[in-house]
Amino acid sequence: MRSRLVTDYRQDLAIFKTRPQKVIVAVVAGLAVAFPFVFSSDFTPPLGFPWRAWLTAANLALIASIGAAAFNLLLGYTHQVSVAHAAFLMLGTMTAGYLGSIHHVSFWVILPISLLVGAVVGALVGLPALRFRGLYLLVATFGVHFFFLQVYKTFQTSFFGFNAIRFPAPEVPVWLAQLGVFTPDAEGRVLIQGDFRWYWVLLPIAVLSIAYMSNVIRLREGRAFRAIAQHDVSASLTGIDVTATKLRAFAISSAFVTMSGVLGSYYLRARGEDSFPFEVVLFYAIMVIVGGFSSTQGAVLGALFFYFFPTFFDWFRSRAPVVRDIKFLQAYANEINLAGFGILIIIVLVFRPGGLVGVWRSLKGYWGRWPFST
Amino acid sequence: MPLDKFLQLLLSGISLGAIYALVALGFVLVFKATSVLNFAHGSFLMLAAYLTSTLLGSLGLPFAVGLLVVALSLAVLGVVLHYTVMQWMVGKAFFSVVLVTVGMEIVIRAVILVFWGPLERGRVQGLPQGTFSVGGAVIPYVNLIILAAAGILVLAFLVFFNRSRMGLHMRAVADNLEAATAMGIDRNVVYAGAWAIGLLLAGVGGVLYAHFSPSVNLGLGVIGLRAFPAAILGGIDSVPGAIVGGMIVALVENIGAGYLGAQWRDVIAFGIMFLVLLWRPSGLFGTKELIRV
Amino acid sequence: MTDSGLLVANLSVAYAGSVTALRGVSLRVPRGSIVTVLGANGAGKTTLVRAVTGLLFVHDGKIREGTITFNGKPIHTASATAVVKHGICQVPEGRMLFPRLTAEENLLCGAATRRRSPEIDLDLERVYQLFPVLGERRRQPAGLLSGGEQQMLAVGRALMARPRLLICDELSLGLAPMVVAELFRLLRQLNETEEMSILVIEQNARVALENSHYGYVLETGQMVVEGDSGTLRADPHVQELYLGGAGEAKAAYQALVRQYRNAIA
Repeated sequence: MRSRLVTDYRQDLAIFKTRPQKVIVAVVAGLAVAFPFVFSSDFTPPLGFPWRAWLTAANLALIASIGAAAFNLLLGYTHQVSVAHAAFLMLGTMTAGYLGSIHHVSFWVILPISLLVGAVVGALVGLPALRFRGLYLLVATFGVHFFFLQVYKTFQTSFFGFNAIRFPAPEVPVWLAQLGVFTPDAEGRVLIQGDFRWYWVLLPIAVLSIAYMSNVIRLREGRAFRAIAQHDVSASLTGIDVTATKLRAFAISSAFVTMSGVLGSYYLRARGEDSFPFEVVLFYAIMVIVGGFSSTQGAVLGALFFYFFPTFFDWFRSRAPVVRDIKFLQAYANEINLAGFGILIIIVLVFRPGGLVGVWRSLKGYWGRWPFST
Repeated sequence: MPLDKFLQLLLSGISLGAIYALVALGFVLVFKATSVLNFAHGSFLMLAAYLTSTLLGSLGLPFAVGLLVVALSLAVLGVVLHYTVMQWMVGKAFFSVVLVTVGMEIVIRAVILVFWGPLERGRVQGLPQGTFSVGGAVIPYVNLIILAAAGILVLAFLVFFNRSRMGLHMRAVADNLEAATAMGIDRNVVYAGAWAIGLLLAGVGGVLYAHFSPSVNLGLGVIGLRAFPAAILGGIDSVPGAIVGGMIVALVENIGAGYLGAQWRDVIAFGIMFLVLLWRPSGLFGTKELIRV
Repeated sequence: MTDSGLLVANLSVAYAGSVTALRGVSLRVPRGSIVTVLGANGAGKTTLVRAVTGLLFVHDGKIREGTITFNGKPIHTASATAVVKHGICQVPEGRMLFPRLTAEENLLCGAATRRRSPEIDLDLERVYQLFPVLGERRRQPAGLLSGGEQQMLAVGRALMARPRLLICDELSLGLAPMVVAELFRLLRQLNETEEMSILVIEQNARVALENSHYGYVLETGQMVVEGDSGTLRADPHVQELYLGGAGEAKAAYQALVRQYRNAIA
């Protein structure tokens, strides 16, 4: 890809600047549309290679990609190290549990409400960020995590007893259901269940959310985020309202994390006390860093990696020739999957600290400079 | 009598504080010398606790021998980890390095699951199990031994850090890495040393905690993470801060949990840290950040 | 060849894989001499020091071409630790002390590569004799010393390594002329009494040329002039650019300034 000179603002602000970029976007869009049709077919690959499992993994990755992009907005662009991520997932689950499971509010109404709740609580949680920096902020938000965990446990036991919170399958909105594409069930409802239908709900929501966040990052607000990331005192001298901007970053990020918490709850149907261990935050950090720090594509790639790799590794461990005959690996299946994932993270970060996006960029650079590349 | 209860909680809090201080000290040392925020610190403590439950609990090694074996194994593990993994991460972006330690944490947890399984193991009872009472509070001998062992180790560490040549080199590297390199200090040796001692301290913390806690289980990693509030409360780059921070967090947590209920432990530990930070944003002893434009 | 001193031959250095900082630089510091390298900001002086002392990697720099030998042994692939062990120690640009360590601890860090021995204590005393003020402040954190004291500490720290070649990078930077004169007097004394070779990297050309035997001028990564210090001092080019000399260029410039002043008056 040759570099291209920009001669006016319109060109500079264009989202897809070059023809190869447009081609790539078209190809990705095409693949995204074809994906569920291919992976919901009854095709059985040889060697027991997973097939329908990829659709489940894709749905989980779609949900996580919203959370990862939101995490990246705060960590990668604004450099506010908050590990209260799981706290907002819990907030989403609580919002959905209270409104949806108890008061039977529609899934489609809960989504925007969860954005609002997340934004308000996010701004509150962002308050300490006005005073603490860096690692001190990181550990302070640890505290927020444990506080929410306690609140969540109390919430669950007081409303749902000792069982997990269960979520009903959402219905397709009435106007869509009447289009006649869907076959209603015995009670005349069209429920969103099964990976195929969920995919079509999650894909547009994820695309819209991520597009919104990329836009925030790309325009004035995003420049303010990055200025604060570099040096907040200097940023204030250029006229950026540091207090408001930091809180906005927290609010936007938390809003989308909360919404992804709602989506996750409805998709997985049940959330219990142990659904939000501290590791959840680390998992999102893994998605963001392995995907590529400070890059929205990176967050999406990271989320895909996070759910696709274990699916692949599990197959590799249990079905691949030679490997499947090693008794030790089969006797400790879950543990080996866990260790394999941990080791892979270490390897990726040691050899490619720029993450998957870094790999992509260096490939692009290599081809772009060919035949002068070194 | 309410005062008895308070005294009881205070005294057991001091023993717990000694353990936290050790763990936080190891964490701060690694951070100070190598600039790595070690998320796996808690899992090293957990690993040490499991080793203890096997060596001292099942095999019945004497306390001193077991302590030595576990501590040295962890120290060796630290050196090995530096030269196999962390060495390659020197100078890489901060969060990439942090996540490598997250990867290590995952691997260690998997290793523990493979060798010890998911079931919890009982408290290690290799030490004298009697108790005595002071002013209405019942104190197990174990708590005294823990306090003594941790205290001796903290002192030994301080002497090492402030008086020895290696300690001097560690402080030099922490202060100005490039200058230290220019003077011929080999940073890999210093880093490996810091990992060894950091893990040794976590290891001893694990041995002691296995004697203190009611059971050895996969939740101990969270106890290791107490190094975070303790270190932050004291000031992340301060050695005395880690000791004081460990003590404060343990006391407040133990007393608070005694009155409010055990489920509030985590919240209290981080809550006290939060309050201290509101008052002093760089902890009690931490280096204040100079903000220049 | 074993006592040939420092020999830099055809050295090229690049940072971050692409930014060239030195191009084909050659330089010789014979045993027992004081050699100076002059150059403006960004000429590549500090890069040269880093290349010799094995510190390029800290700034993501790499030697592209050329060799560096010290007393016949190649050192361009050696680690910083190995270079110090070979007998080369530096007073880094900007002093680079350990601000939170005490003055004495700073000095002890200078002896990091030496084997533990009572000689280290003797050397400590010797540094305190050279710089009595450091002796008085040995228990103070280095960050609290004055600028001149800090520079003395940096020199003393380098001496603790018992170097056979001492490299001083921008010794005069930000110091009062009297302190600079004192430090250079000391360098000459060390050179004469202990046969220590010294490489002086300087912007302050006047002081550097007065206190050295031989000089080089580095401009944008290349050596442009070399010669005996006395000859360089008389060279019109060097005078004009580095000594603020009184050549024709200066006269023309002054005329220009007068003209401008008249115009705006």
